[in-house]
Amino acid sequence: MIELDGVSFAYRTGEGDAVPALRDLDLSIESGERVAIIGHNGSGKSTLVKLLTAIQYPTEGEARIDGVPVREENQWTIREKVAVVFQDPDDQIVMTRVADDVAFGPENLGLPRDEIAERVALALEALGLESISETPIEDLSPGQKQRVAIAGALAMRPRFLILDEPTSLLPAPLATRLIQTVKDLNRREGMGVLHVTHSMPEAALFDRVIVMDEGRAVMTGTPAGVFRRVDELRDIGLDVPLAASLAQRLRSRGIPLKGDILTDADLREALSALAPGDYPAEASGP
Amino acid sequence: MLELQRNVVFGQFVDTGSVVHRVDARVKIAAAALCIVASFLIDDLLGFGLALALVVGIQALSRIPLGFFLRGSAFFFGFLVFILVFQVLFYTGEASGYLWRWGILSVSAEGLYTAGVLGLRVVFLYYITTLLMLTTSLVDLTNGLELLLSPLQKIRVPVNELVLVFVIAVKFVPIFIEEMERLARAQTARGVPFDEGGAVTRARRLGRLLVPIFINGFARADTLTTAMHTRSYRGGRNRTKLRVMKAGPPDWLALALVTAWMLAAWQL
Amino acid sequence: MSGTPILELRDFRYTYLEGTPKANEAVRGVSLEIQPGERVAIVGPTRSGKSTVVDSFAHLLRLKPGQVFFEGEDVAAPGYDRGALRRKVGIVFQQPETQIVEDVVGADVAFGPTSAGSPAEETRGRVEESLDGVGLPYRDFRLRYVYALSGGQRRRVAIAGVLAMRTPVLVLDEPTAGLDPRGRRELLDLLGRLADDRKLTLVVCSASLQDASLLCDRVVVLDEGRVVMDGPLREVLRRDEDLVRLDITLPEPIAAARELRHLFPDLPEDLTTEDDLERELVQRLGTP
Repeated sequence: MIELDGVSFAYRTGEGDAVPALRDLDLSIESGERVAIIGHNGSGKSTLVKLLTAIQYPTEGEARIDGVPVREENQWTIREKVAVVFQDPDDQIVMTRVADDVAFGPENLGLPRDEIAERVALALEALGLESISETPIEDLSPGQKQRVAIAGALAMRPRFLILDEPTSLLPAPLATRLIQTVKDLNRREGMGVLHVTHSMPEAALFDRVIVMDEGRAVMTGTPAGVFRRVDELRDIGLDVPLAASLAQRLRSRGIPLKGDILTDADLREALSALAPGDYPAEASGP
Repeated sequence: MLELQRNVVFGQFVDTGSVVHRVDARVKIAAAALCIVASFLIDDLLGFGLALALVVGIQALSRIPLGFFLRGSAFFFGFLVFILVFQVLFYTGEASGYLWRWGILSVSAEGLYTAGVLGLRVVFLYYITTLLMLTTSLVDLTNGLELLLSPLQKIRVPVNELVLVFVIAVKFVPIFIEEMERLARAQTARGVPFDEGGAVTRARRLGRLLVPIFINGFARADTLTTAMHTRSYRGGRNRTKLRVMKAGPPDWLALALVTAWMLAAWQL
Repeated sequence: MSGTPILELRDFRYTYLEGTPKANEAVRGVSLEIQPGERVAIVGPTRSGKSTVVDSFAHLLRLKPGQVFFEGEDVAAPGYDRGALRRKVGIVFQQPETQIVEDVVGADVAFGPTSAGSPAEETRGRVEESLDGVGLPYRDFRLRYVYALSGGQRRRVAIAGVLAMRTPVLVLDEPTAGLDPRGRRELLDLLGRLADDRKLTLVVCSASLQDASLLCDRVVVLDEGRVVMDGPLREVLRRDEDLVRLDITLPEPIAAARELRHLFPDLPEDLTTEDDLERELVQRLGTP
């Protein structure tokens, strides 16, 4: 599991000032948990990713991954436990053909050839890339490149997969499919998934949502619990999925919608469950 | 708008799936090295003609269109002619007689001959390396290079690291080209006309792009380094490889053929 | 439609790296007319040819004559003044903050007018007006360093740089990509206001109808280099099945209405705001 005890982090600037990016953050994420981290630009979520991947180290407090403290001397152990996918796949893909890039990480671990081949094959299959395994990277679409980057992370067989805004440059339908794929992977491989995103509909697909603001985790809970706090979220520059906000408006008008409403399908279900007479009879369900 | 790839063929890989493309990369690298050595040993025109004929034959086999190759080399040839004219004019070796003379500038038969041979060698070198890259993917090229150079590891040359540096450099070439074209487009839209004016004016405007491109390049290199670390890259030690290269009898036969041909061209 | 279109494409075709083994046919016959003052969204999936269409408007390609017209004139005709064209068609490219050319905000915004030969005094006025226009007060921001600004602010500087050229046509390629929800909302408000105030012809290019539906009233859908739909926003939104098949992101209210139509088959297809959808639902539910 991931544990953060009172972690603070500050970037040092040229003048010797320190700009705080994380302030006294306590957090724990179970193995196999699926968590979305949301927050506006500059809220500290990218810094959190850097600490969890041993790119930066806490200035105060301690972060541990499966009990191993995130410190410089443990960096290679941490990186075997945590794999990360960044926003722009061009900054992450090293090799020039799909299969070769997916193999890059396992090759670095010095695994035997047979095992690399097996990991690469499974990772390619999981992301639906088998048919383009020999294709040069430059011929791929942005969505395919991002899949290659995820396959590369998956082939490391990490305990936690961190997705650092990998969908922000993709069209929404592609992004949703990608997140669905990652959720399936979580179910199959049992690794934890941390998804950092701006997209509220994507965050609604996770088990838990952590909201960051000014270097702190200001809300944490189920998507239903978090997205009920529409006004607080808007105050810190975030949004809620339309279904959640619409449900709240309808409730405030006295329409008794039951249950957690996050997605359009939830809203449809809640509306269809309304007692007969609450809405005209000709509009009965399909 | 600039479409640099139209005008510079050097460094590109064009997969036509030909026989040449399928030859083992190590064999291709070895054969290319052999041809280059031969070009320095051969010093008569007949030998050059013979050697060139082989390479032209290989290009035909590779199904890389000649027109594409020539247009993509125009810039290089222009530059070469420019250099060679200087070679001729400032020739200082012994001359049996001058065809033309003005101050320290002169044209002599010997000068022409020396420049001609030099030009042929440079063209040959360019032709061979371009053809090697056109027909060999980067992955094969670097894997081949790594295997061929691996004996050097015994004398502590960091072959793995060097090859990876090469991979990354080449990987960024298309990204840089794209970036440069994007910036040129953006600046044109803001009033710097990259598509007007003479060659010098255009070159100067392109020069202005280099600073942002380099800054951007450094930032990207930094991000990539971080990404490589998160993917557990710790330098070449303990790395294993997915791909194994297998050279079969046809590969060796091809190498033997090239060797024999070049020997013949040299000895004739 | 009447009068001379400000922008027109006539059977526009375009192939990158034409005549090389890497030739890539991006646009395969697009015809399109945009009238002055129109607000048009050009949407399509990756590689639909929409960026090429955008580049053609300012002649940023190797165009052949007879395909692209500005105010009725062929922009690829010999002797056509491309510089003048680019002073009339302003393009804000995707992630424009990366195309800022100067270190200091004021100098960058002045770049366009200066290269167009505008006198210093006028340039100053334009810089002031443009920076104020994008919500970065001239007094506070003119001497700031670009690298010290936030991502959203940098994008505004880039937009101000285009506004300073006072082009009657403003073209935006994926204007909100990578911005957080607040940044996105603020930018959309700003663009809508600017288009109103300056009576701009607006072209928004995107893979999503989410932003475009808030800024534009006409939508052109491209797929594989061809026009597959062209009409008023509300009409195009009615073909939601086709849009979804093309991986075009629907505006959130439209997507929700699609789902809720299983319950209320008569829910209209053109509810572009949350308020519209709420109103329609309340009507059907009745308030208990």
